[in-house]
Amino acid sequence: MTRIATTTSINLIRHNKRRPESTFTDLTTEENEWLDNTLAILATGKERSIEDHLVAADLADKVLFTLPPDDRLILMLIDVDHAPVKEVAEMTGWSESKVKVKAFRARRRMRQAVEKLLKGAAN
Amino acid sequence: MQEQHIIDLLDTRPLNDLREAELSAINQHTANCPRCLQAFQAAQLSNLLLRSRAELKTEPSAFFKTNLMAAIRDEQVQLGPFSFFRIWREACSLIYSMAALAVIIGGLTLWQLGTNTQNMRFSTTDPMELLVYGMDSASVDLSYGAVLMDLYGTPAENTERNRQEK
Repeated sequence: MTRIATTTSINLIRHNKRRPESTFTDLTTEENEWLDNTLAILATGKERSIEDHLVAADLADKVLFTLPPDDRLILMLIDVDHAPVKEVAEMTGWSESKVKVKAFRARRRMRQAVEKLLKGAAN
Repeated sequence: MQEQHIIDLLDTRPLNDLREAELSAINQHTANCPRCLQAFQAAQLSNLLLRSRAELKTEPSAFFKTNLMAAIRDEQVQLGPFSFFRIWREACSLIYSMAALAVIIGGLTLWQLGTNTQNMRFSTTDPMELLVYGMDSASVDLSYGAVLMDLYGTPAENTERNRQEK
């Protein structure tokens, strides 16, 4: 059941393909402001407002849509929901080592996408 | 650690799962390495974005539910013959043992029947029955007339003569 749900999700995500470049240019003013202020927020560690959360969630969607569906799934399961590697392997039908490798690559792609975003915001 | 870049370390585990020692090593290294500092900030940002995304709960669309139910139905249809095979695999040992038991019982029944017939055949002591069953050793040499003589006590010749007179 879990595997079917996972596969259906991946298929739907694949169906709604979006290109990375198109999303980065579509940042709203709020998202640009959020990016400008975020590093300061991270440095000070101060509490963010509800609006900040919403803007961040929208921005997260945009960044996530630039990644392949498998990467999105792995990031959401392991880094967000803190699902064990074994459980993710059972859900997806991949081996545990494949899950680990995919998670490593997904984190790298996500980080690189955010770096690109930061460079875009700086320019 | 000071000489090594920490970019690989950032991607190995979620940022929240990094140990204190690893975080302090990262901080020490990023103080002198702008490239790694940029990567570390991006990793922090992506971690923040993912957490923000997780806090926003979204319900799956009706389209997703329809697709999911269709996929489950397909899966069940595909599992049809396999489920029969699975049942057979589970039950085959029982069926084999039952068949073996039936064969053993059938064999024993036949053997028992054979033994009873043999006993019945040799249990009789009546000479007439022995004669009918052909078990009498003397009957081998008896002629047709002698048999009639034994049965009716009349010579065979008389019988023939009576028939001719009639």
